[in-house]
Amino acid sequence: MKKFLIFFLLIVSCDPDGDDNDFETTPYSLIYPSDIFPIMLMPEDNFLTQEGVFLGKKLFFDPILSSDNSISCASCHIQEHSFSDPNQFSVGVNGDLGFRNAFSLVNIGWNSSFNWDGSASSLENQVFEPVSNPIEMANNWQQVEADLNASSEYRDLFKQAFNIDCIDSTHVAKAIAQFERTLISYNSRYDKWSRGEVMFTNEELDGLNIFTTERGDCFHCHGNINFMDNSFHNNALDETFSDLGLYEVTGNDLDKGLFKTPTLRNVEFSAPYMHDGRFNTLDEVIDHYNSGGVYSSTVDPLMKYVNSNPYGIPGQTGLLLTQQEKNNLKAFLLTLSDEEFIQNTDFQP
Amino acid sequence: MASNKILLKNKLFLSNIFNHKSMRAFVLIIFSFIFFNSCETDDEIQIDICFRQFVGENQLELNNITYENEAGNLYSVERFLYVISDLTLYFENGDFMVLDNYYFINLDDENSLKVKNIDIPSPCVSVSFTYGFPQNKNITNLYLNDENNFHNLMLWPTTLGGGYHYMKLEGKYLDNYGEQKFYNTHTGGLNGNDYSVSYFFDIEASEEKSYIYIDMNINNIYNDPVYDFNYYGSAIMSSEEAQSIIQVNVLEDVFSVS
Ligand code: HEC
Ligand code: HEC
Repeated sequence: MKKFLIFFLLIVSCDPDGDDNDFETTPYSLIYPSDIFPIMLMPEDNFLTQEGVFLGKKLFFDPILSSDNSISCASCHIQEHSFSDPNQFSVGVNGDLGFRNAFSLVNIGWNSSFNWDGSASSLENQVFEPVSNPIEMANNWQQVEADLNASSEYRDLFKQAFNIDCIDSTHVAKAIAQFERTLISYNSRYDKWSRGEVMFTNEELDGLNIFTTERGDCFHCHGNINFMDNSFHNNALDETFSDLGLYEVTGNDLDKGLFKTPTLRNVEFSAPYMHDGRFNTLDEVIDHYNSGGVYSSTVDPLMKYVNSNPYGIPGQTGLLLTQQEKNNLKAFLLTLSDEEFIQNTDFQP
Repeated sequence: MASNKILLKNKLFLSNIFNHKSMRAFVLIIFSFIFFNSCETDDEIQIDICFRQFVGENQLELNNITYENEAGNLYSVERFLYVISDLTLYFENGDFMVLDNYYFINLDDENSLKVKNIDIPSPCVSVSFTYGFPQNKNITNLYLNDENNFHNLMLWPTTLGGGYHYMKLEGKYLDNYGEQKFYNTHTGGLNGNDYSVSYFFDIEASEEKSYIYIDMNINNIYNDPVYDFNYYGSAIMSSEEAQSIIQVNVLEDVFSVS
């Protein structure tokens, strides 16, 4: 009976109101420094438009996507936390807890894969997962489409953005992906320093040096303009893995315990840290790296001090940074914070 | 670039004879003959370039701590990425052809090990290339938008001179106490110095040849002069001494072409 009802609803709500050939959208141009940021690639059938971004934002903040209208994307991706969740694990519609920490969504238009294990290959693709995931929004797409088609406001907005009369999941995903691509940060203290607008303190400068040389060796994985590398690594967190990470997607033994390198932009706001949110503070993260971490068969060769140290002192492992050096590294990480980004009203409903 | 030129010449030639109306039918017949037989009677030769990696005589096998260098270190290779730039082929007929800007060889990416179907006008007699980038092409963000994640995987921090890694060779070695340690043999333009190496190799020319092999003997990166992992440690990106000893080693007997 329920199936029938949905079907009926769809038919009624998708009545095309005549053809119009005068469909027009306003292009939305992304602004970012293109000499240091790569060109943001987007699917050819989903270039940004003002109408699409506006609609995507509305959907991102609308609990209509969840089964009981209780949570939206923004419930777990909270702007003041750089669109991440301050809880170790996010709470889904039924009060269920997930098992991974929510990503912060900043400069994700430059990512080439999504989720900790790389299970989604595009932003459009990624949208399908939270909506139907039973521990997240626990909805089904027929329901979502029916609910949206029942709203004249949404019918108008989809018409304006995509010239469609019948709202479908593909266009929901397209609109949200458009909004997500606008979540750009390039005005952190680090960016201003790069542009010569501010000076770093001596502590920050030393932190930069630790980060970008093999003293700390963070740059091999967090080295690009978004402080990640669009790649997967085992950064020596565990001896055995309860979450197999990239292996879940590839089935390759060498990928066990590898996770996507997260961006460090706005890392100050996106605690807790790592795929399982195990660290609450940046100090704990730095202590992890300073200790060298723990050995496992797939540990990345770049985590070279997991079983040695830079000075060849027998029996010691890790970077052997002093307290002052650890503070300096943290001072540098804090320069990646962009207050304008977390307050930007363009990103608000 | 050169292969484009050759193509262009053929097109001009065809369009010229097509202008003589009476000739058209005849030319069409000839043309289709050439077309259907192009695999055999073509005066162009098609070759592939293969990048191969050896340790001594044997093809490289990943993840086995069984290789031994002159210093007596036992080591394995887990990851290997490197850059060959300015690859140029010289032909029997005196022409030469400069291939793409650079080739990024990454053992994790099978497609990077072969450059396929290069049309050459006459047998290849010599090959030249640079290991890494010469300094004028080793500029930060120059390859920002390139394929295969090149920028992210190979960038060399500005703090250390900027530009890109020439090579990332990573694996494990056994230290003096027999314990497993990691090594990262990463080379690049440290402090703005040019540690790249240019080569010119003559090869045996033959019409039948469909491959050019650009081979590397990884063990010789560490031999003559001797490079000891115990001395240089796991990380060498800040060591001009290590960068130059590897440059000297690469210069001598690491690459061969056949
Ligand atoms: C219940 C909490 C929750 C909700 C609701 C939620 N997410 Fe997420 N999101 C997460 C978690 C947890 C992850 C990490 C999942 C993983 O890696 O397996 C994530 C990952 C992502 C990523 C991947 C980011 C990257 O860099 O790889 C994107 C994009 C994203 N979410 C967008 C959305 C959108 C769009 C919505 C609404 C349609 C949404 N999320 C709803 C918790 C949530
Ligand atoms: C071998 C690659 C690699 C190196 C080197 C590396 N990281 Fe990471 N980093 C990762 C990966 C992968 C993760 C996610 C791991 C996970 O959750 O399982 C991560 C996570 C983090 C996080 C948590 C971010 C978040 O949002 O959860 C911080 C902070 C961080 N790294 C900082 C650093 C610093 C500082 C250094 C240098 C001392 C460093 N990393 C070196 C790969 C690396």
